[in-house]
Order: sequence, then C-alpha cells, then structure tokens
Amino acid sequence: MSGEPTRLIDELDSSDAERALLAVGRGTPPVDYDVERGASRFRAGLAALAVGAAASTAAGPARGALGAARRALLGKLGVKLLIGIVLPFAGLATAVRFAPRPGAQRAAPVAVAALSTGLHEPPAATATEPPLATAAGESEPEEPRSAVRAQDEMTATARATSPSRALQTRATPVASSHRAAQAVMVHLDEEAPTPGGTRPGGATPETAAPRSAAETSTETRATPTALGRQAEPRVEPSATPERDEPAPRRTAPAVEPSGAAVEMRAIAEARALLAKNPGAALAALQKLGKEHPRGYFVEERRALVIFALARTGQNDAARKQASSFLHDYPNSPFADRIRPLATP
Amino acid sequence: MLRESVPDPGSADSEALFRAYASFVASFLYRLGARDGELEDLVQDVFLTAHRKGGYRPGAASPTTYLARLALEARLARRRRESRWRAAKQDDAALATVGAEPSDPSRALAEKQAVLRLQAALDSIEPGARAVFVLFELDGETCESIAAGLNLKLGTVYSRLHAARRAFRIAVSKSEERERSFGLRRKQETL
Repeated sequence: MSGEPTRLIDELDSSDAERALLAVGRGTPPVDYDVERGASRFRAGLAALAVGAAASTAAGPARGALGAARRALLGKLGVKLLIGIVLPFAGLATAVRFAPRPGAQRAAPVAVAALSTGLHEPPAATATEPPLATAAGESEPEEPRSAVRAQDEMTATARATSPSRALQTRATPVASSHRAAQAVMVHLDEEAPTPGGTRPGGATPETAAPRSAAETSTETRATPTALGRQAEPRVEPSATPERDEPAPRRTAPAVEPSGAAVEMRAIAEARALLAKNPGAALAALQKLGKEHPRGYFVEERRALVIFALARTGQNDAARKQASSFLHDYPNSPFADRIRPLATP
Repeated sequence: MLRESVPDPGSADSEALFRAYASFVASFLYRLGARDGELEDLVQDVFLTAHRKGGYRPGAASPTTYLARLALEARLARRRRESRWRAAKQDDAALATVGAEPSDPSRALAEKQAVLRLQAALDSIEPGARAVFVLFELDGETCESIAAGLNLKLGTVYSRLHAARRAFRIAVSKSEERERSFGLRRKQETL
C-alpha cells in the first residue's frame, strides 16, 4: 500500500445515503457523556485502586489460592465426568470378554497400584498379594489397558492441580492402593451409575489391570516429571512403614467437589424456583447460605436472594442487599440487573 | 506484577486523560454496542486500565487509538463474560446512554433517525473490523495510528477496513430498500 485509503465519505462511488450517515456519524457523537460525573467516579476508582494495591500484596496469595482452587475443582469435575463415561463401558467389556488365564497373577497387583495411585511398586510387594488377582479373576491385557491408561491419565491430571498431594501419595503400597481404587469406584458409582450393575464383577480395578509392571512404572513416572519433580527410583523401601496413611488422602478429592456440586445444584434449583415460587426459592437460598456461608457460588446466591426478595415484595431488604452486593461485586454480571433494585 | 513494573502516571495525569477523552471512549463503546450502565462501567474500566498500564505515552498510536484498543478489549471481555450468564440486551432503540438524552435539544428527529440507522449499519460489522471502521471513517484516524493503537499490522487494518466497508454498504443498501418498500406501502395505503 502506497498511501492512506480515501475515506468512504470522499469516495466517488459512495451513495448519498452512505455519505449522509457517515456525515452524521462524524458530526454527532451518539452519546452525551457526563464527564464531570464520570470524572468523580474515576477519582474514586483511582483511590480504591491505590488502597487495593496496598491490600493486594497481602490478599493476593489468598485470592490466587482461591482461583487455583476453583480451577482445580472444575478440572476434577471434568475428570470425573470423563471417568464416569469411560469406565462403565470398559467394565462392561471386561465382564463380557475376559476369561481367567493362569500365570498372570503377578502382574495384576502392580497394575492395581498403578490404576489407583499412578505409582510404581516394588516387585516384592506384588508377590505378597496374589489373592487380589485371583479373587477378581484374570484378564487380557488389550481391552482394559485403555481404561487403565485413561484413568491413569485422568488421575494424574487431577493430581496435577495438587502437586503436594501427588507427592504424598507416590509411595502408596498395594493394600492402600486397592482401598483407594475402591474408593474411587464407589465415588464413580455415586456420580455415574454403571449400566446393568456390571461393576462389581467385571469393572473393578482389579480386573481392569493387566499391565506389566515395567510398562506401568514407565508411564506413571511421567506424572512427577510433569509436575517439575525428579522421577524417583522404582523401588522405594521406605514406602512400607507409611502403608496406611495416604489412603484417606486419596479419597479427599472425591469429597471436595461434591460439596460444590450440592451447592451448584441448590443454586440451579433456586433459580428454577424463582419465577414460580420466589418464597420457596428465598428459603432454599437462605438455607444454602447457612450451609455454605463461604461456598463457591456466593455471588450467584446473593444475587438470587436479591431477586427473590424483590419478587416477594421485600423491597427494603432487597435494596439493602443490592447496595451491599454492588459494593462487593461492582463488576458482577448481575450488576446491571441489580443496580435498579439498589435505588429507591 | 504489572503494577510494579510500569511507572505510575499519577492520578492527575490519568484524570486529565479521562477529561480529555472520556466522551470519545463513551461514543466509541456505544458504537461497539455497549449500552446504559455497562457503558459507564466500561468507560471507567478503560481509564483505570490505562492508569494501571502507566497511562498513554506518545508514540505511533494517538491517545484515541490507544484508548480504542483498551475499549475494544474491555468490551469483548465483557461480552464473553455476559454470554455465559444471560442473553444480550435488546435495547438498541435507546439513542442516548448513561441515562441522558443528547444535550442539544434542537437535534432534529431526522438526525436521530440517521444516528440510529448508522448504528444499525455499524452493528452489522464484526467488532474488530467495526473498531477500525469507526476510527478511520468517523474519527478520522490514520491507518498507521490505528495499526499502532490496536496493535495490528498495517495490512490487517486495510483488510479489516475493506471488510467493514463492504458490510456497511450492504447494511445501508438493505436499509434503503426497506425504507423504499415501506414508503411505497404507505403511499399505496393512503391512496
């Protein structure tokens, strides 16, 4: 391009209508902005920014942690949804296709450990646990491997949001790994029921675990590396004394989002109720506020409470809460709807 | 982090920038589709962001194109946030924003209608191209300044301008057609 393009208003082939509109646009601002009022608000904003800058040095880490917790929660919910979809199918396939095969007992416990924890186990430990594999039946390596790998990756993903937890559980031995696997399955059952009830016989981690120890350990070593940690040696003799400690920790992620899920469900129900029965919605929201005073969805809950109060004719309370809400969340997506309720 | 790494422009400088360009930013945001309380919030956001980033520094970008970029980013971010929670507001009939009619009482009805028609045509242009179009065609900025302000390559500015002009012309011709057919109907009805 050699030079500036000609403006459309000066173009010879522009129509009169185009020129007229452009002339209006150039001559008439579409908004008569009240600069004085805006400037006074801007001054207040600058003052708040200065105060906030000082406060953020103290509050910053906490806020960052909260954001990270929210991200972690969303990640976990996504992972559980995926597991809930993948495992029932994998379990069904296992139940139908797998037949017992002698000689595979030694590999199964190792894979169980890998399934639930993503850890590598000492070979000695596998030899001490043959009943695990025998009780559950043996399996072909091909089909369940995808399930194992999928769950390995998913648990690794979920764990990546909490590196310290991942490191704490790295040395989980077979017994606690088994319990953790069961806990995961129980939780999965709660969230995504297995069709046809095939889980106990066919889809338990015990049967879906026919990987070789070497392969498992190679893949699971990637988890700590991805977290920026050194890959640790495969055999960890110090693991045995801490046998029972990490098991409850592994169940913790399963419990954590369920509280938020309950809260989310309650918010959704209250939102649905709001139009038909605002009184009931208000009661439900107030109950939720007592149960989760510092939950993940405080902003949404408070906004819905304001709408419910307005709909039930409690205008003074609505106004008071609306002012408080706008003070706390001036840039909330609800702010535009709540702002009219804050003025008498 | 950013706050620590850039020099503080000083509240007085930021307020001077606000006083000089708030009207421009408000009009620009209006043309990007912001309305009512949202528009006022965005105006404040734009200047607070400018303050946090160290304020305007003379360079290839003019103050208007520099602020236009902040305004475009703020508007798009707001739209992304809003789209998760509610549908876009359908209040395009409002000519004035921030709770006030344009101050000039002698503004003719025809002019108001022209402003609305212009806005309808602008609304048919995709936001990124619309920003270029408004800055170039209505605010008289140069393409170099627009490229520097919006952090675009000059070729991108030209291509967006080209696309915006095409969309604008199509919208204006459609609007004319509608008016012609409406006028024809009215004429037939009166006859």
